[in-house]
Amino acid sequence: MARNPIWWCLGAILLIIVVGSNGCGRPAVSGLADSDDGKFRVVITVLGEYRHAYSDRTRKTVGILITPTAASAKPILQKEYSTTASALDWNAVWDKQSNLVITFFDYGPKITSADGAAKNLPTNNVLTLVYRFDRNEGRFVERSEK
Amino acid sequence: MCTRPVKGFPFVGKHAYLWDDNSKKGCGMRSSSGKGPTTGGVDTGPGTPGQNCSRVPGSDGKEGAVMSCCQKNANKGIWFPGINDCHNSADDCLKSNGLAPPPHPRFDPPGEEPPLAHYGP
Repeated sequence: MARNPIWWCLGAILLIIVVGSNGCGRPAVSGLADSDDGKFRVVITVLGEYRHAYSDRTRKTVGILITPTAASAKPILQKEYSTTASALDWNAVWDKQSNLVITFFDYGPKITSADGAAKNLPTNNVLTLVYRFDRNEGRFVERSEK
Repeated sequence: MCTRPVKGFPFVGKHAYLWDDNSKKGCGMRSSSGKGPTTGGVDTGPGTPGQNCSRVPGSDGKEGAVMSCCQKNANKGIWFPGINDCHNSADDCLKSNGLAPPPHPRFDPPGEEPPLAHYGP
């Protein structure tokens, strides 16, 4: 059986999959918010760390994607940030001029977003991202503050 | 509960994640090869392109408990396709809250429509 090339191929594929994934997964929390006029959508994705729960205080990788809401439209802005937090949650607020403010926060180590919100616990501000929409150029300009 | 096609070598099939209609936020386990959060496909829930979502019967009012479970446990154990992956972790959080996961096959049956129905906001 060991000489059967099919088994060697299956073994190689399995090895590629396991090695390619670093042998474990990352917790991911994501969400979206559309602008008031329905023209734009921000998709927020936060990845936690390997071998840790999302609610652990670890490095979090934040991905921001702003796209027109029209199907198959190309992204207008794509950014990535890194910060340290527990279960990182956020509020994304669009104003009438299509400017966007995203406030990231957590509730402390081991406390999930849903538990923190349900118990009305105080939040820790982690990161604030501000994107101003430039109507003339049709793009978003970042103004970030920590 | 939602699925979407997996992007990027060597991954194949469908990624599964939990979605909360109230908060418009999702949670799941990602098998990652080090790609950024938005380059390997994004989880955007029902009514958005490429996502295939199905309501979980009886889940109203249990959204918080399910999402909390995910944030605590989605990454438990060693990732292994078919044994401990995003599909299993989503199932575990639904079952631990007394919910029956809807069908979410890892691969679309060839020549057939995806089994999960689209539903929009």
